[in-house]
Amino acid sequence: MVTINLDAYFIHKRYDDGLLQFLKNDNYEEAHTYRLTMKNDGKLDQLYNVTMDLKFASWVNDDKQKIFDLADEQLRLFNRIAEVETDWIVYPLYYVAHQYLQIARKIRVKDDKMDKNAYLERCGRAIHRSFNLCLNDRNPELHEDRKTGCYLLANLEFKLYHLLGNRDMMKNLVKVLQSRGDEIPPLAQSLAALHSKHLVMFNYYMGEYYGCYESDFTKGHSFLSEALLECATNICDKQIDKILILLIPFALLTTRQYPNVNVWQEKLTDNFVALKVHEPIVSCLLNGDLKTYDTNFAKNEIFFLQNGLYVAMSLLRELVFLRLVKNCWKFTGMPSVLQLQAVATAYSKSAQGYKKRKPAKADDLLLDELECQLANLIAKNLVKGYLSHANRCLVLSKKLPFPSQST
Amino acid sequence: MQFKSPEKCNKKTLEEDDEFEDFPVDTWPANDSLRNTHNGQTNLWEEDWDDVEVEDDFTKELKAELERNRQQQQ
Repeated sequence: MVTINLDAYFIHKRYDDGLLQFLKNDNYEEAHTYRLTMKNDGKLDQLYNVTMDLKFASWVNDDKQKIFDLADEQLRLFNRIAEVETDWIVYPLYYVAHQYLQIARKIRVKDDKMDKNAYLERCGRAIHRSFNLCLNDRNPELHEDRKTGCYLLANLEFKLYHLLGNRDMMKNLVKVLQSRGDEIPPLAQSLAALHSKHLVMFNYYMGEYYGCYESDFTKGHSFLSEALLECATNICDKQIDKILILLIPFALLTTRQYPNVNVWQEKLTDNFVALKVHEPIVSCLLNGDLKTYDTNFAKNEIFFLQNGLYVAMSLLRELVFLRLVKNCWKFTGMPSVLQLQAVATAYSKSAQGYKKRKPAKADDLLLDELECQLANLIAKNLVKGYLSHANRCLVLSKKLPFPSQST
Repeated sequence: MQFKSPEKCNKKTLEEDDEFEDFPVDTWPANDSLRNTHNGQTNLWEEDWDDVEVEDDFTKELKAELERNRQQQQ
């Protein structure tokens, strides 16, 4: 029998596993006794009673609604207790909030009478309160400030908004974190630094938000690179895969880096989704094969949509076309005037595959289309030169017709 | 290199889509992170985008096609 003295935590202002065991809902049968004799204003007594009820209800496990209500009350009480405590309370607060979210998720699946999101929304309000009481702490002693924990609570909010499919709430959260950026400690100096998975999660959610929802691939790339670098192989293989699913296209769009497949294959097990999905597309970006790109795009269209990658993957097509133009220029002896007729030949071959025979001379419609696509490349500074419509040719800059793009 | 078709594993990710946060452990030593075991990003990523030249079936056929086209034009 282990006796856990709750008084001590609130006197010494520190927590250990004993406090977390007390807060935990599903360990009723374990041989712990919890003692609380400290005089308090009633909030701790209430927390004690609610927590013990929650343990019992979770053990009996016949009334999901009751478990949910108790978990809700537990977090609300803990929020009120945490308001007057220092930074030590933040991890236990996160622990209670996380536990509540797990309970809210389970009940969502089981109960179809109530609006399926109502439980999560109620849970979200309590968690948002926890987040705010970290964010808005005004403790003059910086090392005791609860702000250190706001990333952990932010991760819970991100998770919640994912479950609710609520992008607006996510946007609000990011805005708040940005506008208060000067006041909150940097991620690496916050409580998250002691819990590596939170470093990975926060960077991942931020990168996903920017890249998938705001189409800001530069920010997306930078957060996701951070997420990746915080990962440890073997421990985080699943997360590395999910990070790479987003990071590979963002890297291609911004820094033109692509994965060193051999290194990754050596490190990781072979059921890696990221490499399987992206490797064929990377090949197309390197050889200019539009048809294979289109085929792979069509095959994975739903996957791209579900993972928020549709825009990014669509934008990559232009880079396949760019590679094709560059190869066409190389294979025709790097002329300073590239005939559109040659580009048309290459384009027909690339976009239609090997088998179809095309007429020897491209028609005006195709040449117009190509002029339009080339004009876009010039406008984006991916090609240096100009188009001569009258002569149906692309006049290329003598110095660096294809500007360097690696950064 | 050979890659199996992606459909099968796609399905798996979609079903488990929500579970990014299921880490087997809460924390690990900073020394074990990719940042420290892999010298930052070097060698995880290829950086030869501007100069890379691929020789495969597609580029060979493209070359041949352009050559055929050139001869026809003359």
